[in-house]
Amino acid sequence: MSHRLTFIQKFLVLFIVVCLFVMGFGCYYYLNQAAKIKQAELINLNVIANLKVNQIASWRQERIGDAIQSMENPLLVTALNNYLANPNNLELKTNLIHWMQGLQKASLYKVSILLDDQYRVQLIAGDKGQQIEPEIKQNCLLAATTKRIVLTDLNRLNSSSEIYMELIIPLFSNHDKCRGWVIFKIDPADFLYPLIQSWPTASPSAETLLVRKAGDFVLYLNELRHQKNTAFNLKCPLTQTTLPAVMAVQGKEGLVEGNDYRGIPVIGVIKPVPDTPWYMVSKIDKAEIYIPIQRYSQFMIVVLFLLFLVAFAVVYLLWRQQEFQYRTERLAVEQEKQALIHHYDYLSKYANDMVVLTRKEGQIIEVNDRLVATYGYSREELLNMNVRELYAPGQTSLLDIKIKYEGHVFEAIHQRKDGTMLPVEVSSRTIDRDGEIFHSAILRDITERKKAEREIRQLNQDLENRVIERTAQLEASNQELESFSYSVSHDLRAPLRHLEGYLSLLKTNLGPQLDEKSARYLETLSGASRKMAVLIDDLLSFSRMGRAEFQKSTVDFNQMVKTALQEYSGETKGRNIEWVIDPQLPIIQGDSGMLQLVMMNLIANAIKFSRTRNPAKIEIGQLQKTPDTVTIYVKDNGVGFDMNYINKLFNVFQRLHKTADFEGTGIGLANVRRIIGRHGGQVWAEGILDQGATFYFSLPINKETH
Amino acid sequence: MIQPKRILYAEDDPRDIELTLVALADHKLTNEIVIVNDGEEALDYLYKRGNFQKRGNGNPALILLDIKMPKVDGLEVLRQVKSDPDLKAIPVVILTSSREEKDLIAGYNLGVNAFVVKPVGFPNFVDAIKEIGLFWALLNEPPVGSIPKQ
Repeated sequence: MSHRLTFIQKFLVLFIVVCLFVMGFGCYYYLNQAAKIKQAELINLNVIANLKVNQIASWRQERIGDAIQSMENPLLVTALNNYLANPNNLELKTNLIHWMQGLQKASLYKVSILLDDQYRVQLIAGDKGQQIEPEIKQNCLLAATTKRIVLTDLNRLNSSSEIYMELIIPLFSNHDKCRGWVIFKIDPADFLYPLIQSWPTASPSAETLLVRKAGDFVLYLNELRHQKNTAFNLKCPLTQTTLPAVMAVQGKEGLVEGNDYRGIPVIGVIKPVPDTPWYMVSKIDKAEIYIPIQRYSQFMIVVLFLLFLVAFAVVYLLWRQQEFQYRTERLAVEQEKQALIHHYDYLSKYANDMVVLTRKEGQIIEVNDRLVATYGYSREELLNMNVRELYAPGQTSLLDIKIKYEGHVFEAIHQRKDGTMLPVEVSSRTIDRDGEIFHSAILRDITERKKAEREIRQLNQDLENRVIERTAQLEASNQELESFSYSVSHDLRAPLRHLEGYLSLLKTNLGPQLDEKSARYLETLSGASRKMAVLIDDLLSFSRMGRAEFQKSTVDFNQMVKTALQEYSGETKGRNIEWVIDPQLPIIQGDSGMLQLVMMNLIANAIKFSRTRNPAKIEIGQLQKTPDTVTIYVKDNGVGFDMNYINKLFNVFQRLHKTADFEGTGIGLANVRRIIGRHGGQVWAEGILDQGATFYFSLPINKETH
Repeated sequence: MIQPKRILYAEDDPRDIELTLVALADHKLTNEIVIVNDGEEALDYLYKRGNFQKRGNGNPALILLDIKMPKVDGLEVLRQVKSDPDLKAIPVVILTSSREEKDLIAGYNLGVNAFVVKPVGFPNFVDAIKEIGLFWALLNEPPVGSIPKQ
């Protein structure tokens, strides 16, 4: 799992970084410490070298100081001169010997000699077997001529195996004539060599050595620490340039590195000794210097190793801890997933719908029994399938949209194993379990629903077809009705008109011949034809009302009542009518022409049927409004009607009164009912014979009507 | 040669013709009237065709048209008259038995000059016919080319 891999990689990188850091730090520290140790050692070496050179110089100075003290002591010089003049003065001889021995003891001289100007030994203290070699004589001569004290170089004269250096003090007479020399022989083994060889620290390899150039060689002047019998015996050629001693005699000073007389690598400090041809080399084996460094490096290696171990341990522990945490989380996720699957298992037992749970890319994790039964795949097959394989060809998937969605419901076409199509309603959602995406879907077989929908569509289509058919029929019958009424208006009226015309002509033609009886007959004929003409007109208007276009506008009943009253002012003239009219009749939407006709009809009826009353009382008002309807009534105190015949009241040509009493065709209320019906309203009446009638009509407010 | 008349009256019903002539008789307008029994004849008269090939020149000063006639109805005659540059100036009055809105609209759209519903009552009928005759045939100045008053 990639998560795990990066996890390990992370810790590996961390470990390497820590190690590199530790190593880098260790190296730096090691080199720094090594340099410090070396530096300290070199400083040490230098200090010791300086010290030794200074000691040698001051030792030499002391010796010369001794000599000067002697040379400038007039008593001593006189005594020595006197003794040289008279060597037989034993007392003087004894005193001088005594002085010599005293000085010898004090200054560690080996031998004291008094020479006369002929280089003859006049007095001697210490080792008696001394010869005066030519080199000594030369130095005596040098002292005499320069009138200075000479401290010779170390020398090993051929005659002996001993190494000495001589302190030569010239003796002068009052006339500055050299009368002789006092010579002190100094054995370097007494003081100089121990001085050189002594080392202030406990170093196993450090030593100081004195060298001097001797022809093409460098000559070691003292006994060496690591080789015996070297003083004046060990010579090394100048060509051996790695030798610090060679470097010294060739003029190099200060810090040098090379191999010493043993061929061992050393570090040394070279110092020339003042007033001498000597060079002092203080040196120490490199190995000795590097011992602490090596020790240190070993220590460092151990420390680094320990640090590595610690780092590894820390990183390992961290990794273990993280790993543990990761495993714990994984376990929790796994458990949750198991719980989810368990939950689905539970659902599957009881769900009527099909349930499927998939991974992010659609691999099926879980399905319920219903789904297995519906699709025809086995459970094992399904668990190895992608949910997309259930789709019918050409179906797109929500999975392709790659967004999280909550409760998306849609219809889709799926395919069973046997290839048959399965219309389903899918209710799908994504489930996010700690970053791991699942999709769950509830699928419902909607085959039946689809079938029902198809049937409904078919029914609707049939219904529509039927409506179209009926409309066509209706239009046809309307057409017929129209041509019928057209014919009626023309063909029925024409004969009536002719009847009227010829009756009139007949009357005119007969003139005086027309007797009273015949005249009444003619008049009756004429009246009958007029009546028929009115009937035809009313019938036509009623027929037209049914077909007229419904024209919606604002209808103000107050205005309509006024118009009607004006219209009937002729009829009401001379009558005593008490009008009670609601001043706030409703204003609604409707066909104003038709509704005007309604008001005219009702008011006309009220006027007509209250004709016999004095005073007549006509009331126009409205009942309590409801949110949906208004109700208007016209009430009179006229002749009223028998409620038993209420059913006939609103029918065409139905009359409840004799024409002789109240003229009329019986078309008015039929028209009223038709108009109110077209407005979606209702009309009804209440009547009491001989007491009056009330006609009501209700109309819907703001309702679409035809 | 048949003399042209000032009024062309197209009507298929002889009773209507008779009653109309009675109405017109009082004003000596009967001599000015030529009666045709259907629309086709009316057009023949106007275009001097068929029986009227030999009539004298000149257009009537008024055409009275019944709507319901055999062969060619009144509205068709009206349409042809009003779409002919030579005839369209002639005043046309439609006489009809009933006030059908459909006919009224069609008539006025075709350019009828008057639309009269024949009253059922005879006195009213006589009055109406008289008025028409007086106004259109006598008072009204006919368009140029009409047959002059005798």
